[in-house]
Amino acid sequence: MFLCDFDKQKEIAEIARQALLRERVYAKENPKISVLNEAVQKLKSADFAKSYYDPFDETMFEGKVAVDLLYYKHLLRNLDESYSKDVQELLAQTYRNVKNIYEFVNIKPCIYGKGVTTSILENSLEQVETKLTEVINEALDIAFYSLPPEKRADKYNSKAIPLANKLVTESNDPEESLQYAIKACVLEEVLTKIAFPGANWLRVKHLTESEDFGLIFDQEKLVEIVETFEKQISKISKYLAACV
Amino acid sequence: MSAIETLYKTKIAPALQDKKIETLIFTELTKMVSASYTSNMASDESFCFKFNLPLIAVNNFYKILNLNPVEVNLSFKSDWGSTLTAMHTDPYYQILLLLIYHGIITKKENITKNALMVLLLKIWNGRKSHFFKYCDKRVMKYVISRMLTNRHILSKYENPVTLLQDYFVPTLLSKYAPEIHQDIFKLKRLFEQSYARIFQLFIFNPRTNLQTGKQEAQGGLLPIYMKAREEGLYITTQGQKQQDDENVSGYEDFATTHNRDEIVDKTTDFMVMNKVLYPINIITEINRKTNVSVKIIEKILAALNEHKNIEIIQNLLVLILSRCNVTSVTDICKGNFSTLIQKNVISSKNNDEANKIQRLLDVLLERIFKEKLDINFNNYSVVHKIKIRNVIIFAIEHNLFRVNCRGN
Repeated sequence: MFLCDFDKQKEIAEIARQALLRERVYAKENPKISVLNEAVQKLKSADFAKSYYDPFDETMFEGKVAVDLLYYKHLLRNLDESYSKDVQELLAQTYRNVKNIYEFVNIKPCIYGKGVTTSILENSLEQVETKLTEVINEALDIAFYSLPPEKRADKYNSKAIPLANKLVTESNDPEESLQYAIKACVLEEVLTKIAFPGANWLRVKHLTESEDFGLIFDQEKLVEIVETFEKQISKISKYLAACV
Repeated sequence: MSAIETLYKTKIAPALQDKKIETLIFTELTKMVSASYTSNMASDESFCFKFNLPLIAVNNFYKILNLNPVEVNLSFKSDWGSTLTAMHTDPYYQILLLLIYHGIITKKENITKNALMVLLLKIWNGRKSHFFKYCDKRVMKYVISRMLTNRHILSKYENPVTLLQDYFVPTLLSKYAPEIHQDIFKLKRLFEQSYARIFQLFIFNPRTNLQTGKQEAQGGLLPIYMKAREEGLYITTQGQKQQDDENVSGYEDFATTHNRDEIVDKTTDFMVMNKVLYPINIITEINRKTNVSVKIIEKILAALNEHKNIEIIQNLLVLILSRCNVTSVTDICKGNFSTLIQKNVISSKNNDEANKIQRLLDVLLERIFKEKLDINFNNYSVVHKIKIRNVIIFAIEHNLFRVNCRGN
């Protein structure tokens, strides 16, 4: 049916236009989440690894500490003897903390390095040295040497530059300071991997942020011990950067 | 109203109001008990004896009471759940349980006692056949007369019929008849306890030997019998009967079951009948051990002590005490009870009892999480569920100690 009254027709068109405008404003203010976006949001909070981990095992941790200390012995072999006591103390504190973290998140500790198990402890010093050199070289290669220069910069500059700046202000050579800072950052990454190999570190970090975990567990306490661990590893890596 | 109670009130009670029917049933039961008594007394098989079961006579009760076994079975399934064993659904046991209930409700002690006795005959036969396929009466006589101390219940009774009649029937009824009178659901507990107590007579605390992978009993008639048989000992073998010795090992005193029942009942009652307040040091300790936040621990513990959790708490206590091999209150009050809980309950896995404990805790926690915290317990990973379960285990440990060692 057509309307012959043009004024009436105009009035109705105006009402319709206003309704459409209101709808547009509402849609803008309350964007409708698409099914895909909703799925993405759900996937972000989903805990896919929840069935993956085994519970903490004291014996396994003792074995892990023994092997990890071999890595440190290897890395610290050129350390100035005057720092030796400080580093030993720091290492003891760090591994007490590592144990706390493993116990807190209740995951089974594992040993870093392909094919490295507690049986390495029974090998000769020479064999141990060869195996650990191989594993550490591979780790450094993955963390740094295999990366193209721009990726290295992307990965480490943001963390290394503040440290380098600090060293420069203490009248150190800028080039050497930057090299030292990058070395410390790379070692920090490798040492974290030694303490929490595979997906373990990701799991720890995930739990420090997981909403579900925080509802039930003392998440703040976990965050605190993880931060302490990061500070301790950062300190050790600085000692190491000076002697590697 | 429960389905069994409805069945009883609508069909069995009206039928039994007819005194002729009731007398007929009572007479039949008495005949059965009497026949079993006579045959056992005439036999020289000692505890190797197997009864002639009055299967047809018991089955006739269905006809006398005009009951359909399928209908009775449906009532039991409806009340006791769908995960029942073949024993739970056996018409033989079901009709006798209904008669036990009738005897308790109408205070006709003779009907109750005789019906329970007839029920125990079949349980005895089942366990005896299961554990002693080829039972040598000479070895059994040697075991009973030479290898048990005077404190052991078997040495106090001559044969299975006197053991069932004079020990099991009165102890089971004194414990469970008052409970059944108040709550018909306790009929299931009477039935399961009848089975459990006779089972424990033969095998006590079966555990898997980690070296051989085989199930081995920690005590009971079977291991002693096997030992005697291996050593070629039988009644004509010269031997010295051991004197009463507190340290005799290998066979648990029957007081064990009784003691455990008492501990379980006392602790369950304390937990569900009182508004239990947990001291702050206990909450802090649980927090330190599990890393579950104090706020959540308080909520879980408050919900744990609600009356509706009575069955789960009772079953958890039975399993925990069995895992820790608790035979008396002294075992709980010893300094190493926490270590036992840690070793046998918390760290133990891949055995029947530990799996049952885990399932019960999960049911309880799913309910508490849903109702009190509005969180889905299954959102949590396997390893985190372990930590949350431990909150309840530590709370139960605390209550066990508090009730049995400190008198609340």
